[in-house]
Amino acid sequence: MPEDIKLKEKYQELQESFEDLQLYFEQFTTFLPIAVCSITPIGVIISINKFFQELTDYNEMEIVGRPVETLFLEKEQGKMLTREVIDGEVVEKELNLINKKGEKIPVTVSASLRKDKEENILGYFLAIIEIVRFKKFQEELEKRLKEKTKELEDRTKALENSRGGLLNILEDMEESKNKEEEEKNKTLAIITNFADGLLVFDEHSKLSLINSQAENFFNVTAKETCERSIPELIKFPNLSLLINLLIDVSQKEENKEDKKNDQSKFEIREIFRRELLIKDDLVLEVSSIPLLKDDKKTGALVVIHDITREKMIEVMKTEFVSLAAHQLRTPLSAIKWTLKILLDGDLGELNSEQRDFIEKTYKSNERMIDLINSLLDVARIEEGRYLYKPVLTEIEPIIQFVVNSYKDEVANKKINFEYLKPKEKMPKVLVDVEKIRLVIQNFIENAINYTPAGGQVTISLKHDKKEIELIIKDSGVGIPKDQQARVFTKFFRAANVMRLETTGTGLGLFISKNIVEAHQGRIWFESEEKKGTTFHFALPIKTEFDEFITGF
Amino acid sequence: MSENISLKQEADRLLKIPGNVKGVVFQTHYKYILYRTGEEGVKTVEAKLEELGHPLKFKEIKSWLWYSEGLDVLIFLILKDIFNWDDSDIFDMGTSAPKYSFIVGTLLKTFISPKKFFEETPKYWEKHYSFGQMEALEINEDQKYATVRIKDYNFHPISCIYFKGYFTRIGQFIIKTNNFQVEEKKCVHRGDTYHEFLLTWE
Repeated sequence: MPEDIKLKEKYQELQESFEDLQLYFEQFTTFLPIAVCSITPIGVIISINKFFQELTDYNEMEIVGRPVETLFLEKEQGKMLTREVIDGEVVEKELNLINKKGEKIPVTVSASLRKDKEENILGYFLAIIEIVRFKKFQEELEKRLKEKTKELEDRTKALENSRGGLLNILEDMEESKNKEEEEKNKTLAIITNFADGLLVFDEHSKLSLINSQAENFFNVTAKETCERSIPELIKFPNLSLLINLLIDVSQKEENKEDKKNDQSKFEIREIFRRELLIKDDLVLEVSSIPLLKDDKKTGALVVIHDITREKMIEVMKTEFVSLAAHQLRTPLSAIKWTLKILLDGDLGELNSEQRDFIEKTYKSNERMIDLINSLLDVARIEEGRYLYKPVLTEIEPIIQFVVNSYKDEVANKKINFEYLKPKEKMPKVLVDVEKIRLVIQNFIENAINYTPAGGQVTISLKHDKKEIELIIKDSGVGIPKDQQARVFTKFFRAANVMRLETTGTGLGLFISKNIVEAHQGRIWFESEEKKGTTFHFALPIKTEFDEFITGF
Repeated sequence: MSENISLKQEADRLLKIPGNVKGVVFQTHYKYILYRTGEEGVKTVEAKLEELGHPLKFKEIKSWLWYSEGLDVLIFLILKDIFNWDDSDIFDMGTSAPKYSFIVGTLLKTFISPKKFFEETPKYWEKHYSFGQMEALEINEDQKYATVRIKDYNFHPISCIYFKGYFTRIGQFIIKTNNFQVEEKKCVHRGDTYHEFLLTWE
């Protein structure tokens, strides 16, 4: 083979190898997942790989031949890059790549110097590595760090504010506490110096407070009585009288058997102005009210008022009334009989005018005698001399007797009067017939007096296992609401009835109440002005045995 | 039709002129046409070449093989003809050529300095062209100019535009400047005996 042909073949082989190398290089740079470009010693881009195009969006046409700093936001640093590489410095820095669309992409660039065999600098390779994700992560981290820092600052601020707020609250609390203490002291001073005796029981009926006045009344000290239960308090002789008044007898009886003596089983009952005789020269008036908080009973307050002086005055007054009544009754009786003689014509016939005058005088005298009798009854009641003669009897005949006595009056007044007799036989009651008759009489008389013509008065009876109840219902003028509390007090007469009826002593209901209660009964009423009133009284049912026991 | 006839005549004329160029030059043309017109554009150019009786498949071209320079110049004329390109497109094609050339990367050692490159330029011509010669006449870095001559090259004036573009890009590789100018001072198509290009920069 001629030499030139051999050379030609050799050359062709070399060219093919070169082309293979070129292909290999192209494929390699295409595969390379890093943006790489080749830069001249003066910093001009002369070749790029595929990933470079993807990263920058520039193709060869657009970027080759342009200065390397074109790629970066930091132009000066881009220019310095070439200088630094050429000067042999190891270059690796973070820059912001500006792609074709003008978007900023955080990158790290690292450069590698190219030299030929003679150590001549040919330029350098520049690898550009996207650090968007890393940067994003870093930015996110910084953002979160800032957020957290701010959150912490806010929290610290809030805590400081809270601290300030808490201090204010504490100050307020302290102030409130002081005020409360002050109020407590004031209250204690009031309680201590209160003219009345005061006792406070807690929710378990333990004595929690007793003021000095109460200490004096019962001859005890707060030290020895406070925090003590009912069974313990009852052991103090003077205090036992009060305790017996404050608790139900039934409670006491029930708890006697209770070995545990559970004080919670004793409950202070509500009472209003009950008299308590401690000794001859000490009469107390006891009222007890429950202490409520949110409708829940948290204890009881007992107020003790010294009524010794009032009682003395009352006794003197009663004695005076009694004396006066007695003194008046004798001449009134004499007048009565004198008038009777005149009316009977024993001293000669009277003309009609004379008779009319004498009859009116007689009636007035009768009312006077009734008043005197009532006053004497009241005096006896108050002196405790209102003697009872209880007998076991049926109540129905007593009622019937009174009803019959009012037949004419009812007819005259044209009142629809009804006595609804019970169908069954009523149990017996232990009563003082005369006194109970007086009670029934008071009720019926009031009903007739204060019911206008054409009105209705109904009397009925009912009973259960414990008591018999008499009900007197009228359609009369009724009792004004604001005066109902005083109905059973002495000399009470409602304003509306005083306008209608000038007669009436105002003592009937007071006497009735005392009579009923003396029979261990109950008395009460319901009334509505202009509609009518219903009075009730209930008497306990008794057996023959009860009568036997009472006899002793 | 008359243009086609004249292009055909011009093609035949160009192809008759002796002188070859390395396949690598056609490869850079292919990349540029592909970039500007896509695969369809490339096929259109190939179809035109075939129509003119000078078929060529760009992908089959070997970088080290010789091909007719007439064919090289004909491609410029076809591009102007079918895509209505003007001289500025051909200039841009010239400036783009060094960007695609693998060879340029390998020639980096010649880019160490303008003087070095200037000295190496005639060898570069010899490697790629089987005819004519390039002469690096003068370089003055202080005055910032250089003169290059191409002798015995006489195909078509359009080649001069391509060369101007090519020299401009190469110059930008070597000298960092925003203003690198190439002016053809002498041209065989204007009655001169050679082409002379004056390269200036600031």
